[in-house]
Amino acid sequence: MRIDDPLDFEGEDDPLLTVRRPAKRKKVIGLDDLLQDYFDSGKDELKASAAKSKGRPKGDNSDDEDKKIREKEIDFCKFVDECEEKAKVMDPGEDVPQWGQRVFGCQKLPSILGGTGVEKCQLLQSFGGDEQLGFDLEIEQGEAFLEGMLMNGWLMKLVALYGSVEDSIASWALTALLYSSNKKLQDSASEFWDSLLSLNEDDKPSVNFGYFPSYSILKDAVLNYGYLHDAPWSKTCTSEIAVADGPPQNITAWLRVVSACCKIRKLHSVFSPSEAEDVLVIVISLFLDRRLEGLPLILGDCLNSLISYFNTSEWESSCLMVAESISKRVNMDLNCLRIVDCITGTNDRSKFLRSQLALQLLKNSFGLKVVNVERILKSVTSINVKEKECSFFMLYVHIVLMDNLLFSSDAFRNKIAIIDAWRNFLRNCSTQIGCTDWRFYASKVRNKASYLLQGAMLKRPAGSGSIPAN
Amino acid sequence: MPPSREQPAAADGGIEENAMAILDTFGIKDSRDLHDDRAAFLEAVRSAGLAGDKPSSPTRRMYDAVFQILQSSTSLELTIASFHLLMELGKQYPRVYLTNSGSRQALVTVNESWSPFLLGNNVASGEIGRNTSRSDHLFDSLRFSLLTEAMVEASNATGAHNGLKHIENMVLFQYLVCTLEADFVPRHIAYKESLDWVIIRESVLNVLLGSRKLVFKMFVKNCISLLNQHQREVEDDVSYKSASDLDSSLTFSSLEFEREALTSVKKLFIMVINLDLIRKEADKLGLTSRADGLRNPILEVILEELTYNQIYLSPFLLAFTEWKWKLQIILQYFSRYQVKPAVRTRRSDNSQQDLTVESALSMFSTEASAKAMVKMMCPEVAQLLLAHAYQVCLSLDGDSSKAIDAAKMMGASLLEISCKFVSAFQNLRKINTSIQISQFEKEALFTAATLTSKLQNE
Repeated sequence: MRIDDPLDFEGEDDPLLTVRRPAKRKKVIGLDDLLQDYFDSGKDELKASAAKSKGRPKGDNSDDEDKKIREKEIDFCKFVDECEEKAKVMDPGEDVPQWGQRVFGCQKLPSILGGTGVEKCQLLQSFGGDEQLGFDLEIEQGEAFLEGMLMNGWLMKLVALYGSVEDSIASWALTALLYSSNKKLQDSASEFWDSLLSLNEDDKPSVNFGYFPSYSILKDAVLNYGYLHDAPWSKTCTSEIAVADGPPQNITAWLRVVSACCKIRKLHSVFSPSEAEDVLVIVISLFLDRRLEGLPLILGDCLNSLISYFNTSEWESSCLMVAESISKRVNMDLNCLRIVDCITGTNDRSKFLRSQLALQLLKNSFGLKVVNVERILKSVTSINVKEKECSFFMLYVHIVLMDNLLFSSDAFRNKIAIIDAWRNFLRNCSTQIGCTDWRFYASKVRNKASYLLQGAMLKRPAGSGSIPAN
Repeated sequence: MPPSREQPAAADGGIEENAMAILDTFGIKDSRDLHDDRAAFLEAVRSAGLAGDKPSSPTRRMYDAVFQILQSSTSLELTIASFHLLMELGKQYPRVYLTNSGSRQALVTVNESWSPFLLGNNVASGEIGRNTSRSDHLFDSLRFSLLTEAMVEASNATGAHNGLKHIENMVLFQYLVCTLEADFVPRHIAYKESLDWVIIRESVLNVLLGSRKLVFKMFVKNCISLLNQHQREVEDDVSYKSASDLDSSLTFSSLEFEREALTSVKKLFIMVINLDLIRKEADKLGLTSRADGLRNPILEVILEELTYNQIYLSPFLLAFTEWKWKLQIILQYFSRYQVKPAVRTRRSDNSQQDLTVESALSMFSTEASAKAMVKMMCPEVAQLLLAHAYQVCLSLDGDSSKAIDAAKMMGASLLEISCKFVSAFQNLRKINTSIQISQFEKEALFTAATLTSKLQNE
C-alpha cells in the first residue's frame, strides 16, 4: 500500500484486495483541488460573478452588477462589524447566574446532645421481667434499646395502648428527630411525632402528652443546621460551592414536624403569630437552596400548612411582614423569580402572598419608600426597549414580577387604567423588539411579553367589554 | 367535590397555543435556554390549570409535553417540577370520580381525559403499535414492568448508577401508582354498592396487570426486592459525603424519593390484593369470562417468594405495614403446617382458612407441640413470624374501626395473646437453648411482658 493512499478501512484486513485496487486511483484529491472546484462551480456568488465580469466583454448591465456586488460587500462588512459589536455587548451579560442562594452556612453541634437521661424513664425502670422471662433483653443499654423500640414500631404501639406518653420519651424522640444522623431513626421519630400531633375526629389527640415542640427548640435546630438568620444569604452558583458538607440531614424531618405542629393549633398554639412569620420566612428561603432541590413537595406542604396556620385576622398583616422580610434578603435576579414561582398560588392565601411578594420586590427594586402601584407601573413601563443601554435582564425580572403583582390576586382586576397601561407596554415590548435583536435577554423579554399579553387577552372574561382598540 | 365538567377553556386552543409556543425551539442557543423554556412552560401549565382565575384542565398536548419533560432527565429541577405538576393536576382533574345521585353514589368516567397509560385491549394493540412514535412516552404493561426492573437494577448497583435517572424512575413510578389509585379507589367504592364486576374489570389496574406483556410473577418479585433493598439501604445509613453539590443534593433527594417509592409499592400491593378479592367474588358469581384472563393472586405469589427466599422475609415484614394483609400473609404461612391432625388434636374442626393468631400461637403452646413444629419449619422463622403477628395484634386492639375483623383474626384477648406469645418463645428456647433471638424479637418480648403486667393490674 502506498503511503499517501487514502485510508481504506474496509480493505485493510484483506491484502488481496489492496493489491488489485490502487491502479484505478490516479490522483489523490487535495484541499486545493476542492477549493478550485468550488470556485468554478460558481457557488461562491461574489467571486464567481467577479470572475465572470472580468472575463466577459462588458454588457448592458455589467455596471449594475458591479454596483450590486460592491453593495453586498459593504453590507456584509457592516453586518460583520455589527455582529462583533453585539457580541461584545452580549458577553458580559451572558453569565446571569442560575437561581441558587446559600441559606445554610456551617453546621454546629447542638449543646443538648450529651446524655438525654431517657434511660431513667418509667417505661424502662418499671420493667422487672427479665428473670421471669428467662431472656436477656439487653434493656440495660437504655437509649439504644429505646431507639430499637422506636425504629421497629413497638414504642408507638405501646404509647397508643397506654394512651399517654412520658415527657422524657416525647422530648427524647424530638431530639432524635431533629439531630440524629441515623436516617431510619429520624424517620421513625418523625412518624412518632406525626401520630402524636394528629387529632382524631373530635379534634382531640389520641394520646395524652404534655410536652410539645416549641418555637425555640425548632428555631435552635435550624440555627444549628447552619441557617444564616441575620447574615444575608450569599450568592452561590452550583459549581462554586467547594465545601464537603451536604444539606442538613434532618431538614426533612424538621419540615414535617413543623407541618404537624401547624395542624394542632386548635389544641395548642406552638407558634405565636410573629413566630409563625419567622418560620414561614425560613421555609420560603429554603426554596432557594440548590441542595434542597429535590424537596419542593415537602417544602410546599410545609409552606401551605404554615399559611393556613394564621387566623383570618392575622393573615394580612403577617403576610405583609413575611413578604417584606423575604424581599429584603433575596437577590434581584433569577432568585427572586424562583421564590415567586415556588409560592404556587393554588389557594387564596397563597395567591395573596405571591402578589404581595412581587409588590415588595418591585418596591425595593425601585427604591420606593411606600408601596405605590401606579409609580411602580410607571417605572417599569418607562423603559425604552429601543435604547441601547436598556437592561433587558432587569426588564425581564420586572415584567414577570409585575404580572404576578397584577394577576396573582383579585386586587387589580377592576383597575382598568392600570391593566390597560400594562397591556400597552407588553404590546410595545412584543412588537418593538425585533426578532433579530441579539442583545442579551432581548428575545426572552419579547417572548415573555407576547406570552403574557396573549394570556391577558384570554383572561378577559368573555362577556364583559371589548378589547380596547389600540 | 369534583370540579366542574365544562369544556376545558384550554381546549379552545388559545391557552394551549400560547403555552405550547414557549416550547418552540426557534432561536434556541444552548441547553440553558432549553431548560429555561421548559421551566417556563411548566409554570404556564400550572398557572393555566391550577392557579389562574378560572383554572381549566390542560389539553392532551400539554399533558403529553409535561410528561415528556418528566422523562427527559435533563435536570433534577425539571424532573421534580413536572412530577409535582402532574400529581397536582391528577388531584384537580380526576379521570374517574363519584357523584351523589340520589341515594347512591354513581361513578363518572371522563374517557376523553389524558392518561399516562396506553392500554388497548388485545384487538387494538396492533393498531397502536403502528403509531408508537407519537405515544412512546406513555406506559403500557411492558414498559411498566420494565420500569420496576430498572429500579431494582439501579438500587443493586450502588453508587454506579446515574442518580438523576434513578430519581426520575422513582418519581415516575410514584406518579403511575398514584394514577392507578385514583382510578381504582372510586371504582372500589362504587363496586361495593353495586357489585358490578364490569366497573372493576375496566379499571386501569386490571387491564394493566391482565396483559400478557407483563409477567406477573416477575413483576411481584421485583416489587418485593424493591421493598427489601430500601430497608437495607436505610439500615446502611447512607452518608452524605459527596464530592459535589449536585451529587449530595441527588443523594439527599433520592432517599426521600425511595421512601415514597416504597410507599407506592405498598399501595400497589394492597390495591392488587383488593382486586384479587373482588375477582374471586366475581368468579363465584359467574360474572367473569375467559376474556378476563387468568392471573395468580398476588398473595400466593408473595407467599411463594417469601418461602423460597427466606432472607426476604424479615425486611419484607418490616417494610409491609398494612396490618390486615400482613397478618393474612403470616397466618397463611403458618397454615401450611397446620394440616397435620397429629399436631392439632381435638381442634380439627377449625378449617384451614380461619387460622387465628391465637391458634398459630397454640402450635407452640407446649414444648411437645413446639418440637413438632420446629421439625417442619425453621425455628428462627417461626419466631420472626410470631413477633410480627404479635405486633399486628397491638395495632388491632383498641381501634374500633377494625374491631370486627380484628377480633376474628386474633381469636383471643390481647392479654391472652401476650401471655401465649411469651410462652411460645420460652418453649422454643427449651428445645434449643442457644437459639438466636433478634433485636426485633427482644423488643417484642419486652413489649409483651410490659403489657401483660399492665393489663393484669387493671
